[in-house]
Amino acid sequence: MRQIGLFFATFSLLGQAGAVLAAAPAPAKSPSDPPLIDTLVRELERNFQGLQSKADPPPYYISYSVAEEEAGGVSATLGAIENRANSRRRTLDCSVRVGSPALDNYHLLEGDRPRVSSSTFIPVEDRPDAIARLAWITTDGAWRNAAQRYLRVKGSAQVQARQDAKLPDYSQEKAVTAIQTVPRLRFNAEEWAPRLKRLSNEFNQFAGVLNSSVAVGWRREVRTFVSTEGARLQHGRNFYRITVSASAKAYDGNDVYATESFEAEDPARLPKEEVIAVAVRKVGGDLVKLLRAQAAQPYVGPAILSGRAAGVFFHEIFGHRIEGHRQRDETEGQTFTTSVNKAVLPEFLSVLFDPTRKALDKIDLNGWYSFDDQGIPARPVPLVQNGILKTFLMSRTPIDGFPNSNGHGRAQPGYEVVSRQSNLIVDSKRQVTDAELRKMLIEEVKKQNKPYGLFFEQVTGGYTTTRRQGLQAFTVIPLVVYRVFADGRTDELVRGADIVGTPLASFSRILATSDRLEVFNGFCGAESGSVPVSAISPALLVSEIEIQRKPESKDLGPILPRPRMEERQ
Amino acid sequence: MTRKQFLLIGMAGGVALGQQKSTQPLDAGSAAATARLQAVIDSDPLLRAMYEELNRAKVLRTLGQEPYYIELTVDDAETFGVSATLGSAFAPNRARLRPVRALIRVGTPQFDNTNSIFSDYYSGSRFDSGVLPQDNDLAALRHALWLSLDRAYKTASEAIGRKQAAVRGVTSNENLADFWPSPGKVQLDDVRATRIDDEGWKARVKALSGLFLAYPEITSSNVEYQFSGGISYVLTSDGSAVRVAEQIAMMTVRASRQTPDGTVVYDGLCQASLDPAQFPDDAALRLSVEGVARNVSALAGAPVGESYTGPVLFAGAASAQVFGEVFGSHLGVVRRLVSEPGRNMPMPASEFDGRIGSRVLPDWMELVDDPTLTEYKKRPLAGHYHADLEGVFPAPLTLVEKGVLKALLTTRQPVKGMTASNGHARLYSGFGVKSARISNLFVRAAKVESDAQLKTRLLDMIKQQGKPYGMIVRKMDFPSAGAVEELRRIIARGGRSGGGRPVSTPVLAYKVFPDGREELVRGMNFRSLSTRAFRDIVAAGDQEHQFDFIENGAPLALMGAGNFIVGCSVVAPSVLFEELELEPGNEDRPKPPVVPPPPFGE
Repeated sequence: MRQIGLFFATFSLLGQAGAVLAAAPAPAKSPSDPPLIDTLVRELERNFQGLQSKADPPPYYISYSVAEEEAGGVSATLGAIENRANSRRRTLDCSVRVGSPALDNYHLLEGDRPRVSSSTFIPVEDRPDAIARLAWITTDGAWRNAAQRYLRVKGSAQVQARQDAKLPDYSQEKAVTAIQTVPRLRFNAEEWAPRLKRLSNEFNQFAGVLNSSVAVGWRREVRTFVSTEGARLQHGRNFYRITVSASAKAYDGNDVYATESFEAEDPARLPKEEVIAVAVRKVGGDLVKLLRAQAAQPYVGPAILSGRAAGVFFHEIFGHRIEGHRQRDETEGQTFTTSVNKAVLPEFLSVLFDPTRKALDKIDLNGWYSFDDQGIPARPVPLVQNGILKTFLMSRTPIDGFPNSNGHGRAQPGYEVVSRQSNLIVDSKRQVTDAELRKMLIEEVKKQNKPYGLFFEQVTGGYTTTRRQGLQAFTVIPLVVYRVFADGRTDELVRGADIVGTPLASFSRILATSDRLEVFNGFCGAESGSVPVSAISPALLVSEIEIQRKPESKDLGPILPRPRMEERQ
Repeated sequence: MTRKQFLLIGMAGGVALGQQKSTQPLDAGSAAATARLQAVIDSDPLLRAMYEELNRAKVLRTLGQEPYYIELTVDDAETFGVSATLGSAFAPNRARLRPVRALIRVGTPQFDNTNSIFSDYYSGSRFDSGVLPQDNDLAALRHALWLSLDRAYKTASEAIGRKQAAVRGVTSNENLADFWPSPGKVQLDDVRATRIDDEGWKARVKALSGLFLAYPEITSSNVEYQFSGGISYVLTSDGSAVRVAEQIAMMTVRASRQTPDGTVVYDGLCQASLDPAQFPDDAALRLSVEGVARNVSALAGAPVGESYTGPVLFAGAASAQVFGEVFGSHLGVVRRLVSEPGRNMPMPASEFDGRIGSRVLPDWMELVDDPTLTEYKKRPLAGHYHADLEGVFPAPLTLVEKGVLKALLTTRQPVKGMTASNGHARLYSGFGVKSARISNLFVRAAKVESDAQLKTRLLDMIKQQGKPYGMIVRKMDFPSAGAVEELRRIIARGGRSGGGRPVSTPVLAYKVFPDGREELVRGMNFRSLSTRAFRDIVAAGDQEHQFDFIENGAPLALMGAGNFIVGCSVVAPSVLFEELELEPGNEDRPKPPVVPPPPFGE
């Protein structure tokens, strides 16, 4: 059973691919193509012509996608630098399609996920000899895979029975040319080192913290894309992130974890030290409170999901189910396949996916890009309007009624592209203030005769299964959850709860939202790898939510006391 | 301090010997050792943190098991690597890392938590990261070590329970203890880190990789330089304290080409040195790289060899390679892991296990391993080290005397026929134990003849046997420069022919005809080349050949594999085997690419 999900992922320093935010692309177009594009185009044309004239079956389409990733980070723990890292690499992905757009080697058979494209690392220098040579070898590998798979597709019973021959395998799109300049990384890591040391030292005040860190990470990604349809693209973005995290073990063996993060496309937009210090103390304070908190009990009842929690909730239960390619895959649950122009959410809610949106007020968004990984320009896609489903997130794999891409074909370098989410934005027409929403929660608690409702403040991510053989279910993993009592008692922190549920039932229970949007910036993992995404939502009041106890370890905390601090030199 | 003159056995003439720059180890507990330890602890926060936390861990008791041995090893290391192809560089990477390993043994030396499939498994949560902070901040270092030792103790306590359950009701015919005692030794050197010239090496690697531009028919090629250096720390509860500088530099070159019949021919080389300053100069490196390119071109034009059974001469470095590979992998015995009854893990058995006292070479041959030497005949050796991963200081070790196996390479894990560690714990192998590996292996022959005479002898043998030709091997693919798929093929082949461990393939194998003419052939593999064949070596040459390589624990020491490496050197004369079997591979070959390679421009 495959799980797909959104994870906050403590920004790993060497970084899995994916990462990060918006760099303002300079509109100026360079007079001639960059040397990398020249080399790639020359080799693309040479291979395409060579294979078309001599190979059987010949290709009808080839693309090269080069991702240049530069990433680094510095982390500190308890006042000392823990790690410094820096890496740079270039990955070339080559995709070859043989057959015709109507039926090609990417045709899905019985829900398999073919890996047909071929990848290699290429030098970071632009001299043509080495890059052309590696592109040639990679194209040869990709064509071999494509030819082999195409024969399998043509010979399959499914295709021979013409059960699904009506949908083409590749959409017709206009090829785009755009060369954008991606700003160089501007970051002085050594300037940050003493700051990180000071900040991380704060965790010494919090008893019980076992593992803690304050880290800054940066990443620049430039994507170059050329295809035999004529696409010539270079674009990318930068991303900087500060993460504060700490973990500990409660008396009963449960692990507790707390985290905060800040993201920006420009280091100048990262918060000042005082602001990060507040976050450090919040994480430390939350952790200490969690250590003393009661373990959550399985519960069904009304709850408020904070904007960030609601964002993850929508990403999991809704976002993954409206990814286009799942609608033509018979092994998928296809919850919404036949719901176009039907109500899928309460009528006061709309959902927009907007990869062109780079920031929400002061917060930069992680799901931003200017072109997707099939070279299609990004555009806002209103998915749900007033509760009615209008379309799906589309790559160049057509589905019934939607023959074209809407710029959501995405992949981590080295993976095959499928349709993925970008910036998910929930818009509500039933907005009330946070205070009002809380009042409504208490009323709902009383109405249902429950002792308390729940408030999910901080979440770390979630996952879902969309395939038919699995349950159509989702899990959201909260870090900080409060019980909100009807009788006016102060809220009580609980730990160890996971939100669980099934998609359709959950939507019908949304009663109202707050009037304030919150951003969850994260990385989404699914069949095409890890891609940066955001989920933006107001807080939600739901009449019924179910929580289960987390699967937990039960081992002891450290046996010896922590080394005594007065021995510090 | 100059070490004692090392006497050569069974060979005419003496040799110039290496100088050991470092101080001699002191006996733990002696006044000098205690004073030295105290002085270093006062000045080195990392060693102090290790010392304080190791001492604190001695009182761990909660889970009913008492630690009887604690070991902390830390590498305060810096690494640099850069690779290039056809004159273009990939991004260099430089990293600083302080990996830490904590091992706690509970139970008794007779029966403890190690050497079972459960040894590394802990069911609880992990809070230590496996690396220490880079700053010399005592509090942060102690915090990290505290968490590492805590998990090591819990892992040990959990493992011994499961191991006890697994052996209950099972009778083992291998009645060996789990740990050998070893006297504590203290060697705390004053150490300095080496600076590496990043830009210089990047330029050098680019220039060397650019040499392949003259060979457009070579499909792919790569030149890579790697350096790893720093300070190694070992601290044990039986008093050993080691702080020594360790470094290694290496360059690997790989090139391959697909022949028109689809076969991929390849060659590679691995240049290793413990001192980057002693690395061969540019002219020498250029010659080596061009040698690889020429070998690949020659192989592409060579015919495929045919099945052959008969005498084989290993000439030059090929002899050192085959000794390093075959003897190197069997001289350290790997013990079978305790697992659940009826679920034995398949383990490669050493052909020398239990064979001490047996003849393994002709009676005029000797084998000595000597980690204490830094150079041989003015040429640096790659296998030198002061102390092994268990803090044991090695001495020169005679492995084979007059053809008879006298000793095995040992760690502190007991093996049959031996009684103590001889300081060869060089690689981590998991399950709380280390692997024994050769260091500087010297193959010596008392009966030698010139290389020309060796060839004549080979020709005489084939004439006598009425064979149309004999075989000479001049280079083995060890460490392997092949792709991972190639390695898979070799392992599968080894399995099919029932020959035990896989053996690398000969890169340069020549048919030699009765008139002395030689013809290069490709695509040959040895059929079950095991240690047994070495008993029937008929002659050895009078020239010694040194071969340095990087051991990483991977099959055939595959170039680029493994994340923990050590250097090794083998010095050996050419040797003539009485009878070996060679056969061509018969695997499916991919068709050559449809599109020809892009022409080189500029």
